[in-house]
Amino acid sequence: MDLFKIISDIEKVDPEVYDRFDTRRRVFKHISGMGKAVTAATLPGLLGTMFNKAYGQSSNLSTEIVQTLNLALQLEYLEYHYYDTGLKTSGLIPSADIPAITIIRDDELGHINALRAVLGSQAFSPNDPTRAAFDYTAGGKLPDPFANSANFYGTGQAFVDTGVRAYKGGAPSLMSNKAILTAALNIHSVEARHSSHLRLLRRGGVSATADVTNLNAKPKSWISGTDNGGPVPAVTAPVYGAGSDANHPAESNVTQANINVQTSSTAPTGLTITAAAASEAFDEPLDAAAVKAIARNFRSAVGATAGLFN
Amino acid sequence: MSDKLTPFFTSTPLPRRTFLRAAGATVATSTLVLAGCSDDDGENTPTTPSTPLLSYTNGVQGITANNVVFNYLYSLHQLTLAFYQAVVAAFPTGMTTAEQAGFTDLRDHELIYTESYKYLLGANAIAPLTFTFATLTLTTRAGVVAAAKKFEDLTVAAYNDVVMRFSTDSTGKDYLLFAGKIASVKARHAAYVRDLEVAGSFAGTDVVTSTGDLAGLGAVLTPSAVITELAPYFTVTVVTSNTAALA
Repeated sequence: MDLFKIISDIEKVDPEVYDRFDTRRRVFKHISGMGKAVTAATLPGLLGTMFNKAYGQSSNLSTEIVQTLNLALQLEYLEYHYYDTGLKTSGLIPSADIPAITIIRDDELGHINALRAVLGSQAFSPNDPTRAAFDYTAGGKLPDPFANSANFYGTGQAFVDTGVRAYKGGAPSLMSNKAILTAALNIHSVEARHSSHLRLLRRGGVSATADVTNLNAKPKSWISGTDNGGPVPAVTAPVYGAGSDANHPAESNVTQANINVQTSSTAPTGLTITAAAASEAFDEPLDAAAVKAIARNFRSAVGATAGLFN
Repeated sequence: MSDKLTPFFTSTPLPRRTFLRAAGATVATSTLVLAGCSDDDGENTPTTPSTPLLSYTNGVQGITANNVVFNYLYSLHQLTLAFYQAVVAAFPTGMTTAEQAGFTDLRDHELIYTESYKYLLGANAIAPLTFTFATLTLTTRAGVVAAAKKFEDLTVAAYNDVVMRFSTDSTGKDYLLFAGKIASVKARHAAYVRDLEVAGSFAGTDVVTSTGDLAGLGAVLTPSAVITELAPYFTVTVVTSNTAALA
């Protein structure tokens, strides 16, 4: 008895069984060779199986998918040029942190390439927006992020956290195409890794404790409540606040799937589940309109003319 | 979120139930499938496992794929919670105050996840599990951090995989949203514990591809691959091959 025999038998009563496996079919065929053999070295092959199907589909993408991915793509350019400018600003980033920021910059470029591979001719523009399309002081409302590393990491945190929320908010629009959904949420998990690291740097490295009375400057690696509005609340509060409707609550939300996850959890004796922990455990999605409103702060006149974040 | 989510266990059965019924959720079938999957024993006779089996269908007739996936995730969080609880109960030497605060947060988050999954799964939920960490070194900071990294990276890779396993209807969307809200926090956890082990390794090349067409994309692991890695810590033999939901 083996799996393929089982599937074959099922096919006789359920002819669509292979369709049900959809993108998993090729992975499934390799199942007997996996298990113990899966190591880091084999991961790219598995990834390729999953994502090749997502690439080059631009001819049959729904309008909804195109719009969601194009917003994500524009956000990736916003981030890419930000880290790239930082890396090119001599003396800004402490030398010990340069490899990390380089990784983040390069990951953003990877995301740009992946999104363009999926969108093809449906990308918002055939050309890459340049550095001139962005204004990282938000029209002077933020301190110059390239003046010192504290400013640089602060605004960077706001960008990655916006990105995480934007991808999560876009996910329902991508559900009709599982390969693209998988790719987008994968990117979203990498953005969350970036955020975690920038937050660590901001509070002073691995030996530093987050300051719950000053999460603006010394945040946890995860979003606690609304992080008191983030690095510069006048501009960054919407990054952690509620979106445009009830489906997009603020990051302080503790109601998930209609249950209060703080009060429905039974803590072991001597332990209390705090509202802070309940909010930290879940990141919240943000809708496209709210994401665009945040991002429009950071486009220059050039970017506005190009229609970024419209 | 939509109000469709609360009574998960009363969800309308999916078309896939035909397959589930055919594949069977019984322990007997699971045993045979498990034997059939083995690639390194030359014998044809199914062997009797020495430990009890755990099926994510939980023996529930007609259980939806969505709930099978949630049971799988629920088990991963049970494992991680047990691990962090052991760490927090007796912090290893060399772990700083800041790190102890971080690990306490991790434990609290895992407690919330396990309780929430259990609540949402209701009658579909697998039983609480026990684990063994005898092969880990929990008495040293290095041992704890290395184990945390392994568990967190595997869970992130698991979440990267399961997002495509939910049904495409509105019910599946609710499941996806719930899991998706956790997925990014798990990535934050993973990056944090990785940075504790090696500064700046939050998105190392072993978990995020750095070259080629897949540059910038994170690791993805199927349930069978994840469970193979975690098998030493379960005190039951976990079966993923008896349901299309995890294939």
